[in-house]
Amino acid sequence: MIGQLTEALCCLPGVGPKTAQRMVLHLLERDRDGGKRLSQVLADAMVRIGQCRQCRNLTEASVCEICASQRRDERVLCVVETPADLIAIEQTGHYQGLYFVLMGNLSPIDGVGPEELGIDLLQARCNAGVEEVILAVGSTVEGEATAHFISEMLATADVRVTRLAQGIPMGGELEYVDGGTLVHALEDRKPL
Amino acid sequence: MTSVHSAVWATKMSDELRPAWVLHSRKYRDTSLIVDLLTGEHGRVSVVARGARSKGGRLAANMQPFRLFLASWRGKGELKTLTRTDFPAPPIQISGQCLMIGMYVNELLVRLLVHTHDPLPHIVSGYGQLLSQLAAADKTNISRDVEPALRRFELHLLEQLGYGVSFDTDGSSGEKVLPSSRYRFQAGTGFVVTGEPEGYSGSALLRIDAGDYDEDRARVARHVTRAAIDDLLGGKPLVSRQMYRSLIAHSA
Ligand SMILES: [Zn+2]
Repeated sequence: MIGQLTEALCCLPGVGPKTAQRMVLHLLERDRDGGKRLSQVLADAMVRIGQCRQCRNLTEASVCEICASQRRDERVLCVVETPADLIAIEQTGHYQGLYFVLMGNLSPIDGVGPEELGIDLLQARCNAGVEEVILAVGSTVEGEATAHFISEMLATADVRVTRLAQGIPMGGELEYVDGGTLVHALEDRKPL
Repeated sequence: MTSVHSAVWATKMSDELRPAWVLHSRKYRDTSLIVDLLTGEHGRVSVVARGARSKGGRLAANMQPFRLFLASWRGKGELKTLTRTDFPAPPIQISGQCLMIGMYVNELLVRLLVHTHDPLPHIVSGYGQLLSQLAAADKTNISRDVEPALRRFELHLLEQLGYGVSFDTDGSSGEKVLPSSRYRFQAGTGFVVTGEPEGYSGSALLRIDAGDYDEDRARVARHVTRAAIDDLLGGKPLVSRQMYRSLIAHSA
């Protein structure tokens, strides 16, 4: 059984067999209460957490806290690839609009097409009072394809589609910035 | 092929670094990637790029689809370990609708080149040429600028894999295709003469065979390559084709 538990913990990112064994022994030897609590919350979370039916973010409610909030600006919709990206933007404290979480990006070879990303739901949302859609997708080939696809699908909707600026990182020295980023930074330059 | 790309091919003699195109990469464990490569000497090769996503993910940023670079790898199993990389040329910039076509081509190669380690020099050079065309294409005129090149690549790919489509011969009788006859296409057999008026005209087939495309003939070639490719893929549809279709349907 100890072996089973060790093996099960290896599904966590950053946890190899050694770390897993340390965790198991710690719980068994020193913190059985903590272990029991962890198993309960984990079992609950795995069953009860689903996706928000408006933005697809992870939540145990049918509509998540952000979508349900009265204080958010419903005219702006920020499209992100993952819940982690949403958290990153939330932590800036700078964005007041709503979100749409794709849960990935267009990657046909991995079997991920528009349906898997809920693009039809996104289109439907854009017909309901949204004025601007900010595409906050990664600067990868798949991110590029996702941005293109969404902007084309929203071309007939009455919304402004924007994309996050790509450029020099804060504190970054030009000589260490790769060529692709420099090209984008040059193209996205703005007047001072 | 552009001069930068020729330079990449020229350096391959210096050591075991070999030119490789990235078809696809996906996350593997915490900091690594599994990358599907298209190479001239070894066909399609899957490698693990250990630690590619650590230290700011610089290697991961380089390992994007359509990137030509130099790689060496070791290992005896199906999954090799990437040992060394060099990126002498900048990435090819493909955008918009051409990017969708590029993704289709990559999905096609990954699906068709399963466990193929035979040398594929002709497919690889055709792939490089097609990508250059996708990068340079006039995006307002995809059907004129890109479609014939894409069809030629598909037909060439089928031929190299041993499933070539002969546009100048009746696949059933072995007779030469006649300009005045009509033909239907049957995957596996080829063109077969038919009495039905909606069949493809022999003269169109002969002009496609000569590489002479117009909008109608490009459509014929599209139907034929699609039928031949679907037959090889055995029923499981290409995600990128559906994606492309919904884009076209939406903009139409
Ligand atoms: Zn929500």
